Amino acid sequence: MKTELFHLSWDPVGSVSRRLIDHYLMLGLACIFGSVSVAVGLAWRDALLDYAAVTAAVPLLVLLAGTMLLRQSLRLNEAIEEQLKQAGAASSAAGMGLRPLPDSEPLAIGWNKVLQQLQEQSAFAALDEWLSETVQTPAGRQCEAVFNAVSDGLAVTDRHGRLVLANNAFWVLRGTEAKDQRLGKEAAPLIAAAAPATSLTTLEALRENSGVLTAELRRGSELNQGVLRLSRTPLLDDTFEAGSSLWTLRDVTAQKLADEMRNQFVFTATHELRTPLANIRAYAETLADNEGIDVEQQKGFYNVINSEATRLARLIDELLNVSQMEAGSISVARYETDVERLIQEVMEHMQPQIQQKGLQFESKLPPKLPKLHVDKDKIAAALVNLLGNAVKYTPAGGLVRLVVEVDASAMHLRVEDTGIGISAEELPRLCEKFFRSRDSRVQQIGGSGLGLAFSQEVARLHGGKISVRSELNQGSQFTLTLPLS
Amino acid sequence: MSEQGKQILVAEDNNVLSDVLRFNLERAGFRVTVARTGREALGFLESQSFDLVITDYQMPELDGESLCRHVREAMRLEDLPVLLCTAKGLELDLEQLRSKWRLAKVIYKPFSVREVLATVQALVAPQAIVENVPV
Repeated sequence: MKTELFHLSWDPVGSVSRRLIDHYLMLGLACIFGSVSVAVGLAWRDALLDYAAVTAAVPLLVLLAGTMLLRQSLRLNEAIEEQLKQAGAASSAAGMGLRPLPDSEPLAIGWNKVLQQLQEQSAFAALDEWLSETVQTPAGRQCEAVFNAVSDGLAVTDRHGRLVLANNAFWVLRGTEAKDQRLGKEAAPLIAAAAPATSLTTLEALRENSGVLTAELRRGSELNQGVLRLSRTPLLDDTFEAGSSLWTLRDVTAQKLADEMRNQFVFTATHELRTPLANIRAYAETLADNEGIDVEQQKGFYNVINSEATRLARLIDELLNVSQMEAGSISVARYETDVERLIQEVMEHMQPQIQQKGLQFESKLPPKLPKLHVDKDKIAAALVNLLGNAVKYTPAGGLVRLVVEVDASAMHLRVEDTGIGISAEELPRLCEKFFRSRDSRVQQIGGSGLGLAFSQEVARLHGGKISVRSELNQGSQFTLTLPLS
Repeated sequence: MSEQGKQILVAEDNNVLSDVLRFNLERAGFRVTVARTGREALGFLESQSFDLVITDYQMPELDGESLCRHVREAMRLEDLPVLLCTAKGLELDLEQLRSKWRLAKVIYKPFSVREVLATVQALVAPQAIVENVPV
């Protein structure tokens, strides 16, 4: 055969590319045969000598160049085929020896992608195998139970940021329902979607899939909608594939709210302390610097200093009350108390304020009031507080009423006013410590935001409560309810 | 006294404090008008002329900054010296406030009446230059 002349063996199971080349060669030989025939024809007409060189060289050159080109274009097919053949011969998956091809041809890219996918899947499978092996042992089962019992959300991601592990708390904090809890999803977008009010820079940092990260995630514009503290740390242990990260999520909403309350307190307290202090300083300086102020005016200035100092002292008392409340150490000393007398004393205390403000005052008490077993001073303070608020937030000419009612189980002391009222949105927050309405009419009147919180605590310690009804611009009703027994 | 008859507007919602300011300023020979709110102060500024304004930052209806904006932008009172009283802890950018509204001085509460008086005297005296206000 002519093929043997070229030392090419005819291998029926040879590679596709080789077969193609062989076919091509045969075709080439046919070509040579054709040219030889032409040469013979030419010789017959004695013209061979004129065309001899061209007749031989052209087909040969064409053939050679074609062979080179074909080999070049089929080299990738050949390499892949070679690898697959080896894989077929290999006994285990690990020994398959598949290698990526260093080329940018579409075929090579495709092959490399297939290999990459294969590697990732086998990494997942290996981890899965390791996990199930570990979890099968008693210690492993305990570890899993602990992992799921931790109140912080914990998750592990691979080098692509995809979830490999996640505990129950992670899903709960993430707000994912049980049916959607699937591993293999990308963690960063999952977490970002749970905290839409988070700052853009934080979201940006979250999207970069590696490196240490500590961030605060906001579920909503308001703090009480939820704040999560997120941290991401690289896992360097070789149990995990390189580039894995550990994510922890902690709900810090309560802590954030406490911080906010403290800041609000510092702000309110400093403001409340500063106002009387500014007045005291200004009047004391005026008295010291000016000679010949007439005696009446001097007296007036001293009185201002005195009343501002009283205001400071009262504020300090309130602060102490609150710190006792916080510590849970506020105590009530209960004695048999004549409520009628208590009310009388409170009214005597309130009368100057009511008159100064130009308000009308009414009281409506049943003919006979039962005696109560209460802490007289604290109940009086709570009542002064409720009446004081009514006076403070009712414009001149308004009406303040104290109505006392007794039923089978409790006494209700109700303070009614025709004041500025409280909006429905702010009503639930009214008894929070340091809460002050955003109403500008309230803002311009001094107050610590502690009075109602204190009064409510007093009511609670007596087994009673304070309930509020109010309508903006119409007035408010605060009822202190105390059990009879 | 050289300040005789100079008109000063005090915008302050705390009556006790505005009373003592009025007392001291009047004793030093100034004529004093007190406004209880920013809006009231604006009314006074529109109806009469003043040589100096002392304003609180936190005020009902219209705060001190809005008052400054009206004075400088709407009313174009470029040269009227303004003293702004404010409380620490409000987290205001005072330097920015001062340059934006060309304030003569920012005073922290609780302030010294003596210091306010000295500042006012330096500002409304004929040779007063804002940069030379005593601290």
